[in-house]
Amino acid sequence: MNRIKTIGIRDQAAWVRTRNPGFRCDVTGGLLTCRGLLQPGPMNATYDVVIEYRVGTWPKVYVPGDQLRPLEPGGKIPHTYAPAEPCVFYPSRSSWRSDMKLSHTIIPWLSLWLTFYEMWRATGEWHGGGISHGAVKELEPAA
Amino acid sequence: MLLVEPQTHTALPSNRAEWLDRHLARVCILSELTPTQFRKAEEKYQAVGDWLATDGSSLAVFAPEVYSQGSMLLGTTVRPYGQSEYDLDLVCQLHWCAQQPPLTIYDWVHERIAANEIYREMLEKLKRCLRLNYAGSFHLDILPACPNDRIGNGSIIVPDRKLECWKHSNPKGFAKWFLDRCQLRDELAERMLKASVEPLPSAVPSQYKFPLQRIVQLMKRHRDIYFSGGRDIARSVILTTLAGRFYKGQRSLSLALEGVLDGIHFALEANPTVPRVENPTHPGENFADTWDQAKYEQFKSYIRNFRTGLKALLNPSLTEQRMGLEKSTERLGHLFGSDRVKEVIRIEANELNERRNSGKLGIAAGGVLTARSQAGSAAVPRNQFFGR
Repeated sequence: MNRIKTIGIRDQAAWVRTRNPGFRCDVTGGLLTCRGLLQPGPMNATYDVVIEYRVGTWPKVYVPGDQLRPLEPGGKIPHTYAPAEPCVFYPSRSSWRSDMKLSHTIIPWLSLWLTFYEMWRATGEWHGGGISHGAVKELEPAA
Repeated sequence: MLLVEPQTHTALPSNRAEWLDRHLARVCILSELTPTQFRKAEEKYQAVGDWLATDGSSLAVFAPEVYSQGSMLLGTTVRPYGQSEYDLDLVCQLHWCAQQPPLTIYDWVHERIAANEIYREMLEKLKRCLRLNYAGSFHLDILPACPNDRIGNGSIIVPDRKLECWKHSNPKGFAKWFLDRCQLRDELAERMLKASVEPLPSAVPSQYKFPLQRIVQLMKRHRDIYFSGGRDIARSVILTTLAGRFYKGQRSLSLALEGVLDGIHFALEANPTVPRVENPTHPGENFADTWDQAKYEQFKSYIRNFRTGLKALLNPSLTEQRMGLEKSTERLGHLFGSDRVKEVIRIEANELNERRNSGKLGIAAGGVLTARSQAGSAAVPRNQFFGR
């Protein structure tokens, strides 16, 4: 079995702050919470985003409040677990492992997700690809 | 003039003007003749030219010369609104013929073209020109002409069938004026529109264009949208003349367009009554001779609408900024047609995916997506979005 050199929670926080100086990070009881503003590109809106991570679980991202909106009331936003919770990666160890930096994976993926979200709002089509929940039988536990 | 477009590994736009430069160029590329169509049109018109000039042609003694004029010569073609066929204009210039009655010249050219069985089926008589219909792609409008030796410098006279008289024209002189205006800055980098990109990243490179050529295409496209295809109020020659006059040599397409629209807007606002739009190569000829007060007001509101829309795209209000790409797409759709703009967004999405899949996507500090080649950026690893 390959050994993975898990990045500690405080190192993860330091990387997020280095790459995103505007983010506030806080570690309480092993749970890292980072919050800050993300604007993926010059034409995009600026989003208030939250990243949550505890070693041994999958990182989660939130775009709280009603910043993300479906095309019609009650409609579904593609590739989300909940209206304010985008799914930015397929939860498998081949996508994300605990030796990866949140700042270099989860945050850029969220920027990408937001870019495709805005294209979806603009055109009604999801151009970002991805895997749908139905296509997966069993989820792996986090590394 | 025909230079290779930049590639997709160039940096992602870092501000709104750069993003718009790229987007607007793509609107043009989707509206113009493709390089293949362009080559095909050239082949066709050379064949017509050969037919008119070849030994044994009834016109051979007049040494006919066929050349393109209008948007094909200026590099400003735009597919007509709601149609798939382009209008391409040619001049069939005879020599030593200015003493003949205008209708005779028109009839001679008509007779010679009709003597060809293939052309006869496609031929149609219009007011000043003869039209060859290449169904589904374009039609060639052939304007019979004689040199105007009194003025020279490419000046010609063309028959007007309705009025049975000669009309002055100078397509070569006009094109020279326009292409001079295109090159207002003499540095190569200033002249080329870096931001324009081929619709599909992997396809054959398209043509480079000068910002001024793109500006004219965009003005024509907005005219077609604003007047639902009506072209008589904002004739292409008026748009080309005004754009050429007010262009100041900026390299950024969106900022150059803003400058041109500002210039036209303020000039019109200073003219409450119908002004003249003089032919820059033939003073005394008024391109806007069909304007009355009502048409002029409509032209003004077309310019106003274009300018307001573009300014909102370049400098959005806070509310519009919060709506992100969705609002910009809506505004661009009002200017250039929502289907065309959505098609461009689709192309941009494909380009982003191509970068993503080939490891060329980077993330800059602050979470801004950028090219991997950008200093200080980190590569974005591949991911799959999940969920329904």
